[in-house]
Amino acid sequence: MRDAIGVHVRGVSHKFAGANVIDHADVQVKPGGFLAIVGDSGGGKTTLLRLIGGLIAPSSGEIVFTAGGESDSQSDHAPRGQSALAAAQANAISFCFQEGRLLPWRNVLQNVALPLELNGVSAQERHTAAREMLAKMQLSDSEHKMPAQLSGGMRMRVAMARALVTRPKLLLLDEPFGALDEVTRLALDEELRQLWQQTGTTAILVTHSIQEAVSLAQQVVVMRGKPGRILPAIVIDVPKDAAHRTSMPFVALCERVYQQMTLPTNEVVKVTR
Amino acid sequence: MKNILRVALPPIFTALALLVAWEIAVMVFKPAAYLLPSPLMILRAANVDSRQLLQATLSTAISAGLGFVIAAVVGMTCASVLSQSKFLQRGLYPLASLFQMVPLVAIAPLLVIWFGYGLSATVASAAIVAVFPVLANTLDGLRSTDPALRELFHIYKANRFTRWWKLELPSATPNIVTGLRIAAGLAVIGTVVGEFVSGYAGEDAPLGMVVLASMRGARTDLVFAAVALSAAVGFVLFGAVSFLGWLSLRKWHASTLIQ
Repeated sequence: MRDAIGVHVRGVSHKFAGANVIDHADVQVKPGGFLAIVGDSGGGKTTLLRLIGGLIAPSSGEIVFTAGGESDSQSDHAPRGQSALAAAQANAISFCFQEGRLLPWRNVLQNVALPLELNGVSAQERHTAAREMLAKMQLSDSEHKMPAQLSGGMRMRVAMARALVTRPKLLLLDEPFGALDEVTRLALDEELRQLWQQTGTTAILVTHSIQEAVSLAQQVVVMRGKPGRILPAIVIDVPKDAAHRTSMPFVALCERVYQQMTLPTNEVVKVTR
Repeated sequence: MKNILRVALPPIFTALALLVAWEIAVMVFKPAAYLLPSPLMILRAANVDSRQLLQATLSTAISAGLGFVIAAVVGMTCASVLSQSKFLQRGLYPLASLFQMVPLVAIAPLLVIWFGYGLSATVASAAIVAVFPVLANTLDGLRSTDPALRELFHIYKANRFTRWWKLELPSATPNIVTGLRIAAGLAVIGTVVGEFVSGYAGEDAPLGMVVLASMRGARTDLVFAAVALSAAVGFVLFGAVSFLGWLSLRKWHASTLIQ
């Protein structure tokens, strides 16, 4: 895989309508890493993700992207005279929203090809790339289906295919499986973990599920509102396979995350100072 | 097919029943023919003057159709321009709504002054009443695009035109179809009102003129025939628009599911 990019959030605060939504957030994820952000609803998790994705600008502080591998600049991979496909795939960041957010008037193939289409990739090239992605995720049979014909889980899988078709160096996931039933969710967690490993992309996942965070990420941070503060990161050092979910270390890590999530507010202020 | 019959049969049956009741009522109470002719009398009169009535129907249909197309194009274009600028929206939309309040009958004479007697005045009259529902519904649809999808297009660096063409316009289609359906009915009303004021007599006199002339001649049967035909023009236009709307939405929008 071409090198992923790391993210360093340094002292970022964000105000919305005069109120502090995020207060001095510090968090770091190395290239190719997997960070999960858990916390209260309305605690600023999604805002932090949107700040990282560049959808909004922070009121103060900075977000620095770091390149991994031998090369340190993105331009090495985007030489002049490159094809539109290469340029589209130099597109560093992809988003995966809750409930998928597919375009309901387009079929699966056209939805997955959308990011490439918006980057001016020719119809033939983008459909080939989208079909490859669909094949990789065993979605080829659904190529011509409309989103309304798909189950919630299938819609999310198509949304993941759309997010990955540009081969992002940083994948941002905003509660992607929050609306799904437990069984589907576990299956998609596993699929996401495999895709992350195969593609080598950096991933940042916002979720309200402690188990999901601990089972997927290498590092979990808890965010507490309001204003949103980030508690010290918890490193997840248990093996990433399905069998670990009932193991003692896994349960102990979940407990640590849970403790941070239920810490009294005055304690939160103390730890984050 | 079964579904179509289930939807189409009840209104057809009701209409037939009403016509039969009307025929019987006229047979029993025997009102003067200039007050209330029976359906069969109307049909007979229409048959006698069928040539002129067909000509009139065609003339009205052309005017309503042209007015509708102009309203659709102007309405959708203006809504698209307004949707791209909050400033223009604030400045122009209230004026457009105000303009909509002006009674058509009151401006129809102005149209005659500007466009003269004949087709262009009736087309203008049809377009003027039909444009607002298209504009308002399209604008509503364009503005209610899912913000998350807008962000998606932003992430992939789509420009304004692409966002409008590939996101906002398709997602506004259900609203646009609603606006066009309302406009289809209004275009016929606008045409007939225009014909009342600016109509032209002669070989190709439109339905509005047939109504006026028959009224003066106490030919109530022909008035009824002309009214029925103008309703039919509206019905066909409305049906065509609904069908096109259904075609464009059937694959993805919930409104097209037959319950």
